Amino acid sequence: MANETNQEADENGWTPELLKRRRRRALIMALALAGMVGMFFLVTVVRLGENVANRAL
Amino acid sequence: MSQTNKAELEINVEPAPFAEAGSAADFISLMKPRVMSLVVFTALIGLVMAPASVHPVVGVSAIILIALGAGASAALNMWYDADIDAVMARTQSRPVPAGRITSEDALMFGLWMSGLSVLSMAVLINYVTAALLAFTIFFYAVVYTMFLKRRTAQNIVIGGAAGAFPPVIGWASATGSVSLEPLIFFLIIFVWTPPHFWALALIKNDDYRAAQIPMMPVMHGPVATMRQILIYSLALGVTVMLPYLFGFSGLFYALGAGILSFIFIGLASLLMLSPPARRDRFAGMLFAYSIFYLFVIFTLLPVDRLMASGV
Repeated sequence: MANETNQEADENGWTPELLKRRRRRALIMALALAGMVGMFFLVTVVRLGENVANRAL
Repeated sequence: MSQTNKAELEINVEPAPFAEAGSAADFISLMKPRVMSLVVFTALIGLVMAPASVHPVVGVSAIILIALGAGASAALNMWYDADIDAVMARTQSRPVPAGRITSEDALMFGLWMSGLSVLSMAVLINYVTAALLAFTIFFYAVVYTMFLKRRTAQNIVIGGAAGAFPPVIGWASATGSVSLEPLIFFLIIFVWTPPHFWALALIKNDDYRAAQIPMMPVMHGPVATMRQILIYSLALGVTVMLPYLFGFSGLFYALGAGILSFIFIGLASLLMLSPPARRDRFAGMLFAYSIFYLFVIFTLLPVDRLMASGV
């Protein structure tokens, strides 16, 4: 923490190190959300597939 | 000390000036990844032991959502317990007491993750599993963390139910229901938790006393705790035989579980007989062995099933 406070901060108090951490957090959150979307899509396809395979002919 | 309220401790947890910039790793550690690994493992065993075929995509999704739910309840636990975590050497480097994540962020993270995991479970898997996951999160975060932990020496006996639910949830994600088998898996973890946790509490007794948590060794002393550990170890030895006695595991499982339990009871007896100077060493051995024990017991179940099916 000592290094972070010694770095030059912008008008909102964000140092380059803190901004880097924020970008990293945002990237991981975006990836996690994309993963959730992918999971919903895949499970929907599987469920639809099961229902199609099991439909009355 | 009959009970400890949050206000009585009066321990100030001041976040560091830049706590709002907690790293992604801090948020991951907020989810107690090591505890999560045991949750994922036992849930997976519940899922694969269930008498229903599950599409791999659905199965993996269920396990991911159970892990998210476990992480959510851990975050809520760390939010509420930040005051006592700050006192204990074992926990004071956690993100909230160390000031790397604010208390509000931990709470919001836990609540959002809880909602996301339960709702996704309801939409993608089934309502029974979602309800079980919601109850488990509630039981751990509210019943155990907020009520039991600071009030009774039986905190981890009752609270252990939260950790015992994952195989039931795994089973329900495959079948949409709960039957005798997952309840026996639940019982195994439920009876395993007290000797596992009390072994750690014996080693960290000074920490728990400083934080005024009424753990068994703090309230009743190490001798009574070691006696309880031995009693629960014997009960565990019987409980792990239930899958064999009820006929859904074979002789291979029974032999393995018997040998493992014999060692468990042996270590608990050695701990009971150990001189005070060597107590921590034996407690540490029992704690480490108890983790190994649970992993192997839950591995034996599907291996025994595979052997019985001739694979």
